[in-house]
Amino acid sequence: MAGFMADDVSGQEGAAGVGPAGRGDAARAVTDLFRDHHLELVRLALVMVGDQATAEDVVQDAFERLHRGWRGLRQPSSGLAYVRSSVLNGCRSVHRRAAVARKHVPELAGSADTTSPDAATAADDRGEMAAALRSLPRRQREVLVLRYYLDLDVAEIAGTLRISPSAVRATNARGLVALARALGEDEIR
Amino acid sequence: MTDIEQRLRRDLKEVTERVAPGSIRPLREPVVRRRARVVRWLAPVAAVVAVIGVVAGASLVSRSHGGQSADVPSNGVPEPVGPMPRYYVTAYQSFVGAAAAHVVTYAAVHDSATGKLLARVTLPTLTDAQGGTEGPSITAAGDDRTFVVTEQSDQPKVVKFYLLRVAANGRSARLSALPLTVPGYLSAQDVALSPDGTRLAMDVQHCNKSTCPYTGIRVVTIATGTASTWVTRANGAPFNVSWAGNEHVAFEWQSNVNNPPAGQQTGYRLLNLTGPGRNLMASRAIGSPQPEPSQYVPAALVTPDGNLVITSTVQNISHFFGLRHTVVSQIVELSARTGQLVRILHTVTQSGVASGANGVGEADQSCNVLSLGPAGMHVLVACPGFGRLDGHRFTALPGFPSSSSSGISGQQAAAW
Repeated sequence: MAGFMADDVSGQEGAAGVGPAGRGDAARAVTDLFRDHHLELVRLALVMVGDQATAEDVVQDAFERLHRGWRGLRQPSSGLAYVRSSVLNGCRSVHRRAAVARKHVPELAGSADTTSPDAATAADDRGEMAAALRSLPRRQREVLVLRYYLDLDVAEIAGTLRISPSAVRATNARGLVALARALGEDEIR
Repeated sequence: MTDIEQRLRRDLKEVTERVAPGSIRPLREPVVRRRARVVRWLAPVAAVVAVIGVVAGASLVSRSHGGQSADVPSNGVPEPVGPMPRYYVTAYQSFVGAAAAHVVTYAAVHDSATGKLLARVTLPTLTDAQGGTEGPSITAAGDDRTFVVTEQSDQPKVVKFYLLRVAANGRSARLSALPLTVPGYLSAQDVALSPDGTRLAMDVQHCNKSTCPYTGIRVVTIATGTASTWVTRANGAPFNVSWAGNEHVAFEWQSNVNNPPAGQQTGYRLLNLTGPGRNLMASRAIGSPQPEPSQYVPAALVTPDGNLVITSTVQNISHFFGLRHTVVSQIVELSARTGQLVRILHTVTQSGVASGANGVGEADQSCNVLSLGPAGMHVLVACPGFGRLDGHRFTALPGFPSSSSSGISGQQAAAW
């Protein structure tokens, strides 16, 4: 898949008129990012939009945007942050469209596996967490997912969401409190 | 890590691992663009237009309240006569180097009157076990030449303090590491330097693996390293620490429960360091900003006399079936005693802001006070443009955010 991406990247750059110096760099960098982070980004998008097909579309669009905009990146090393932000933007667009159309309710995950009582209980727990996460303000949800799913540190979250580190810390703290409330827990232990 | 954090991490992991590598359909071939050259040229333009649409292009209107000049206030309250700090300092990080970029931390000294960059100092960059950084914070004493920059890492828990002394003419600055430490069992967040430059106040939480038995405010004497801590076992935590004169520390108390007991509600409080005992909740509740529509509680600063709280408010008016919003952000003065509005210092109206996403959610949190001058009359703000407020008069200033830190935007701080 990565090879396809690299080949395609080269062809598209030619059409776009990117000079030879940028062609190899962009192809290599986007390919590396794709290879190392595609699965992780699809999973991130899944958490945010709720179904895998939409998540895959969002990530595909993000990689296309990354490639098209590679030369515009002020720091090539910020490619991963760029594509993460792009995925989150894409997820927000999905929610916006859904909100306008009023015909799609985002789900955190697909149908749960309930073949055994234990599995059913675990699925219920996950469903409860999904609903609790969905009830949070958008920014709190994003900070919590970036922190506890991607394990990003405060600085990386700040860079991805373009907010200050102190806002990340405060949003994280408040998000946990709100999540605990939504789950019916009186306090954070 | 708390129970809720453990559960969140576990559930997210379980949900996401249901997407197996082999279950993702192959990438589809990107659509060939018939006007690729034009599209490529348009892409960055579109991005710029999008940003403008959200922030500035959404009819961003910044004006001093009532359109009055600073000399002729609308409400008869005298304009500032106290001295404005000569310098403001921004602390930020920037990527440098080629592909394998690394992060460099800077403190930049600017002339407060003109915004001109006078000096820039490089600080050691504190990285965590994974090579990440949290970014610096900065706080100022009242002499407009003494600053403390703080860097932190979460894993392992390390806090570093650096004293920055700006030369009298502002064209150079001397940096020295302060031999201060924060015990490993304490987690510190925000740090504030006292107006006399002798002490640092910081909010701390004492946490073990599963619980945080107490939280508090720790005040450390820089010369000796001796510390006093005001603590509480109430369920919540202090944030947004600042000084109000040399004997009082203001902070935001954030309750962790839905219906906190009397005296423990979320809001700003003022701690008298000369009072008896070491009970944090013996501090006095003061006027507080209302949580913004997104439940974000904005920063607040208290004047040295303890009488006024300077903070920001947001009003969100929806139009067009809720798809567009007018967001009115204001820097205001509240009475510390009653919480009543005393006067409006600055108003910014963003109209045509889109719902959710990058729109109204961002706008709700885009207006904040950053640093209050020692006379309590001049405020550095980011609302959303960075600048200084001299009473009602807003003057845009450069250097925040730094143009060279675009790769890691958000890692910035400013103080005077």
